[in-house]
Amino acid sequence: MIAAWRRLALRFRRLRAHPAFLVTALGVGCAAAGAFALCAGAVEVPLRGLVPALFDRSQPMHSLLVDVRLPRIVGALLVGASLGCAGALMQTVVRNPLADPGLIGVSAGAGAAVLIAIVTHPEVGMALPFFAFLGASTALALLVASAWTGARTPAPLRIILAGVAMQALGFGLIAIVQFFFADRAPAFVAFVVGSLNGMSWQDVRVVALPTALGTGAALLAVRSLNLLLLDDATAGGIGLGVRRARLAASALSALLAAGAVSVAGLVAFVGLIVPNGIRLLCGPDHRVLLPLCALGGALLVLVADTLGRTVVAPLELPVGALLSLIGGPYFLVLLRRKLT
Amino acid sequence: MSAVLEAQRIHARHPAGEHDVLRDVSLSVRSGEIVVLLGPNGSGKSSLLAVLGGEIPPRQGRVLLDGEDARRISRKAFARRVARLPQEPGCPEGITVAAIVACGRNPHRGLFSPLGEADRAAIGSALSAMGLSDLAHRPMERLSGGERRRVWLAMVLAQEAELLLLDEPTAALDLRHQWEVLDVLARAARDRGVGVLAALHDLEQAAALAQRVAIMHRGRVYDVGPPERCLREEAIRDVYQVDASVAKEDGALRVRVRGPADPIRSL
Repeated sequence: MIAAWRRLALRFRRLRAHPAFLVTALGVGCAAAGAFALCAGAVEVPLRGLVPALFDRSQPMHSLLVDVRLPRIVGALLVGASLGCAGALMQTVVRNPLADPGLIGVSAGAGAAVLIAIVTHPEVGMALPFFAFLGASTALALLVASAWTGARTPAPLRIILAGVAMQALGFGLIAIVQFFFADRAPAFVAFVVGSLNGMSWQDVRVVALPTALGTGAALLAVRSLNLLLLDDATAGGIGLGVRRARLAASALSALLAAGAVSVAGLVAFVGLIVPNGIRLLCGPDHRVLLPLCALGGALLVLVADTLGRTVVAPLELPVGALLSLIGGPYFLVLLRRKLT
Repeated sequence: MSAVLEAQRIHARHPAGEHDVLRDVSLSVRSGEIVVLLGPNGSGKSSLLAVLGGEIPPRQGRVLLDGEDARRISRKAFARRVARLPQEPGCPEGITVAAIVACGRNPHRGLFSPLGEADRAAIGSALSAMGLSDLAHRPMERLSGGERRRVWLAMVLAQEAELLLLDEPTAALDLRHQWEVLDVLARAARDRGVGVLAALHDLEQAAALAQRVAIMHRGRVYDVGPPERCLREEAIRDVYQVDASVAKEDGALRVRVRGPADPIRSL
C-alpha cells in the first residue's frame, strides 16, 4: 500500500516537472481564473449565464463584462506575461536569481519616464511604452555601468545594491513629477505599487505590442540565451558574442517591463516569484522557461488582481500591494538560499 | 587541412588590471602538434590562452590565424576552427550533460537551425570519448568534480575545431582519467591532425605528451622547444624555485623534486 503510494508520488513528481503538463496546468489555471474574474465583482454574474451575457448584446450584463471586466482580465494576463519573461531575461543577463525589474530600479526608471510623458503630452497614447522603454533602458544602463567593474560578472549583492540606488533615483523623480503635476498624473499610490484599476481596451492595445514583440523575440533567441547561462569565457569560446547577446537580452527585458509599467504602474515581484518557481521545477533551459514564465506570470497577476478586487469588496486592493505581500517574504527566502 | 595560430609579441593585461600579465610573448601552435604551456601559478599561462582565444584583447602585438588578424574573423568562424576551454567553466543548476556538450555545436549551427545529423554524431562521439555516454541525461550539479571536467572537455571535442586551447584539462581528475584525457588529446593530434595548446602542471606528463613545451615565467616565455632540451634542472630551479633532478628512464623524462631551491640562488 505504502509502496504503491510512493510510486504514485514519484510518478506525480516526474509529471509535475514535465513542461507539457505545466503548460496545460497553467493554461487551464488562466482560463479558470479568467472565468471566475468575469463572474465575480460588485455585480455577480452566474457562471451559467456567462456565455450568453458575453456574446448577446441585448443582455443587461453585456457591457459590464465586455467593456469593464474583460479588458482588465486581458490586461492582467498581458502585464503578467511581460513581467514574468522580463524577470527571467534579467536574471539571465545579470546571472542573479534575485534580479527583478521592479526591484532593481528598471521599472522605476520606466515609471518616471511614463509620468513625465503623461504630464507633458497628455495625448501620448500608444507611444507611451516607447517613453517607458527609454526610461527602463536608461536605468538598466546606469545599473550595469555602476555594478560592472572589469570583465567578471559582479557579485549578486553588488547588483542588488546598485539596484537599490536606481530604485531610489526613479522613485525620487516620480515623487517630484507627482508633486508638481498632481492634477494630471495618475494617483500616486496606485501607480507606485501597481494597479489594474480602470483598465480599458485602449490600455490593452498599449501593452499588447511590447508584450508580443518582447516575448516573440526572446523565444526566437532562446539558444543564445541558453549560451548566456555559461560563464563569459566559455560562451565566448564557442562563438557567442557575449556582450551583444547580453545587450539584446537586456533590451528585451527592458521593453517587456516598459510595456507593463505603461498601463499598470510599478508592479514588482512577479519577475522574481515566477521565474524562480519555474526554474525549481523545470531547470534553466529558456525553451521551457520563457513560455512557462509568460503563462505563470499571467496567472499570478490575474489571480492577485481578482483577489484584490473581491476579498475586501466594495473596496479594492491594488494588485501590486497583494503581490508585495507574497513577494517580500519570498525574496527573503531566496536571499537565504541563493546568496550564501 | 592545416591551421596555424600565432601570438606575435603580445603585451596584455586583465581588463581591470594595472600591470601587464604578458610581456612580449610570441608563440605558435599548428595542426597535428601538441604544445604544452608550463610555468608556476601566475606566470601568464591562462592569460596567454585567453588572448589566443580572443577573450582578452592584447594591448600590443597581434594574434594571427593562418596569417590573418584574428580580430577580423567573426566569433563564430573563429570558434569553428579554434576551441578554447577556460580553467573553471561554470553553469547554473539543472542543465544536463548532453545539453552542455550540445553547446559545443553552436559555431556550426545557424541561429535558428536545429541539431542536425552531423551535430548528433559529433556529440555522441565526444560523449563516448570522455566516457560519459551513461551520464548524458544527468544534471551537472549531480556529477563529481572530475566528471564535470570531462563534460567540459567533451563540449570542446564536439566543437570539432582544428586547434584546441585548453587551460589545465587534467585538473581535478584522478590518475586514470588524467591518462584518458591525455590519450584522447594525443590520438586527436595523431589521427585527426588536431593542434593542441594546453597548460599543464605535471612536467612528466608534459614531456610525454608534447612535441614542444613553452615555459612561462613572470609574463614572459622563458624557453620554448622540445621537452628534453627545455626541461633542465636549472630551468626548473629558475622558474619553479625548487631543486629537482631530471633523468631519462625507458625513454621517458623523470623529474624528482628534492625541495625548495636555495633562496639566495633564486635571486
